[in-house]
Amino acid sequence: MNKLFSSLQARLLFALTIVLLVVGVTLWAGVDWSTKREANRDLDRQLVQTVILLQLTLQNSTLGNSVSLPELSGRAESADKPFWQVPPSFEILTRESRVLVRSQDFPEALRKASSGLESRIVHGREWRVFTQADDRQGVTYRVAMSRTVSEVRGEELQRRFVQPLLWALPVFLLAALVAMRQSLAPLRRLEQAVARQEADDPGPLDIERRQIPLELQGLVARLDHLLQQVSAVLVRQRAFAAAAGHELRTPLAGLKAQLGVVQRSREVKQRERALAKAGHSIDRMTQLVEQLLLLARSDNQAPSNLQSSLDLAVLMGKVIADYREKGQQVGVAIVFESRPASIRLQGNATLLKSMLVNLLDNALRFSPQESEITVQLTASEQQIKLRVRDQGPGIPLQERQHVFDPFYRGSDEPRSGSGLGLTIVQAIAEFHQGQAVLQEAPGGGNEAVITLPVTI
Amino acid sequence: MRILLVEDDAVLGDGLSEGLRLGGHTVDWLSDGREAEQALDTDAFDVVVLDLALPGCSGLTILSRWRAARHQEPVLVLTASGHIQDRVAGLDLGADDYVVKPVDLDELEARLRALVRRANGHVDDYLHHGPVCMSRADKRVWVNQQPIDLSAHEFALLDALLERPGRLVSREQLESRLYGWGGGPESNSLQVLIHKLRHHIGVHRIETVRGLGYRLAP
Repeated sequence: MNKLFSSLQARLLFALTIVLLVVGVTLWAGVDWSTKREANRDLDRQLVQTVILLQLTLQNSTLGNSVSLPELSGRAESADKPFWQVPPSFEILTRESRVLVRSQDFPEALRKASSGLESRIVHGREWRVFTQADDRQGVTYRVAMSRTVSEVRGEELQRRFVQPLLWALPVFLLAALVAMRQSLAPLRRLEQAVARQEADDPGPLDIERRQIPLELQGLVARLDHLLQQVSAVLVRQRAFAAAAGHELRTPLAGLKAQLGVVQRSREVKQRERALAKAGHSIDRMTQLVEQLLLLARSDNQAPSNLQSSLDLAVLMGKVIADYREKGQQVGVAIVFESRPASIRLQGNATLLKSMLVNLLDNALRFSPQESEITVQLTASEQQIKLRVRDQGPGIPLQERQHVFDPFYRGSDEPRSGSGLGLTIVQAIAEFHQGQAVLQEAPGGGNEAVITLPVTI
Repeated sequence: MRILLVEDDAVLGDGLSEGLRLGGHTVDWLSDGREAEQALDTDAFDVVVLDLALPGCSGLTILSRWRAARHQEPVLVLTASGHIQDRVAGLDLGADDYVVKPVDLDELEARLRALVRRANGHVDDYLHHGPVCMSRADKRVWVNQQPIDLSAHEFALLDALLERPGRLVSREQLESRLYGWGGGPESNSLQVLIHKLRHHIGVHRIETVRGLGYRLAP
């Protein structure tokens, strides 16, 4: 049953049948009411005409023409005949209430009917009785008819309503079914188009626009848009996976080559040197894998997870204190300033730390000796800005838009980094509903600006 | 073999050049495509190992320029990408072999040997001249079916002479083949080496062409 009602076609058909029934019942009631009224009117007219006829007959008979009135009352013994074929019952009374003429079947109960038209129930039958006094003739006419209106009504309804309905309903339902199937054809086409989609390579639905009904155009457009987005994400993910594999191959090849040297060499010194280099390769791969995991973490987590209220200024201060030594080794000083001294926000401390470490790694890679890296943290009512500025040569304008792409390396960039640093920075900024931009610093060099919304 | 290795990754370049040297080859390692181009213009190599991902200049660009400049040296392309279309592009541009990282040293060596063999018109890894027979694959030498022991340098020297038996090989060619750009430890080290080799395979088998070089006696 549920299955039946989940079908649009069944639902429409059901609704149509209901509507049809309601219309049918209303029509029935209307026809019923109007036939009843008409039948009543006919009956009354007939009664009045009968009285007039009786008046004329009585007049004639008093003029000498003998008319046998009881003949009129000879009722046909046919109860199954419709009322208009049955002659009415009647009585004619003198002024003294003496019966002049009375048909045999005139009901006793009607003998006290007052003047005018009246309805009475006698032995379960409804009678309509018309009483008229003729002062000139000095008699009172009373004509009555058993009202078997339901008979009339039944016939009328049968004729005017039920019969047409009996053949109209199936025809109508059949027509409705055909029309519905026809109208629902675009839905089936849509289903087929969706069924043709490949999970690993989705694309636009490829339905001709004029074949899509107006009501479905929005849905199809949205589906197309969604499929295109999914396709783009898939392409990006595949490119990323390929690039990640590619990036792992070089240190892996280095490791293998160095191990080959270890196998071939008989000199202890040479083997030790090769093993140390193999260790470097493993370090590089470890770093790359860690970066990939970090990226996966910042991509996958729901933003509400693993967040806590923290002081960004304190957190960044700690990272920089740890990083200073690394800078000093290559002769680069790190300057940190935060205004105000305490900046609170909702965030993930581990990810935010990684973000700054990656920014510092990037800045350090571009920094010449005896230069400075400036880290500046500012907060306004709505947003927090973290700026990391180096005094290096900067990145050419046309390359700047690619720096956040995974594994992108500038033409003059040394190959020491994993190629994921800035990608991770961007992912972490977006994880915190912020954004990352790389621009030219006022005195040349790069300036990375991270904008985070205030969320406290 | 004298091998030119063009690889920008420090650890990989070092490992490959050391490993190939231990296999008895002379390896010159460069990490820049433009330098490699100059090297090829001025020096003779038996085979080139070329990494495609080089800073500043793609390996494929370098390769197509080499081929346009009529450099005939066999080139083995070393790359991190295993895509078929990349391989096809590389081979179409004039690469002779295509190896995806990471590569096994033994396999790389065998492939390089095969390239050199093909370039010199040999059918297998055996070189013959008179009673002297050499197996390049397992680095063994026989004279009159008697196996003899040679050092790596002696073997490389004999290899160079056996490649084109009866033809003159110049001092410079032999030195560059043996020592690359590092040069011999002494200025007369080639002469010392020739002397030792003559001792092993018979004095009369190597002729000196005064002022020009050496050749195997016909």
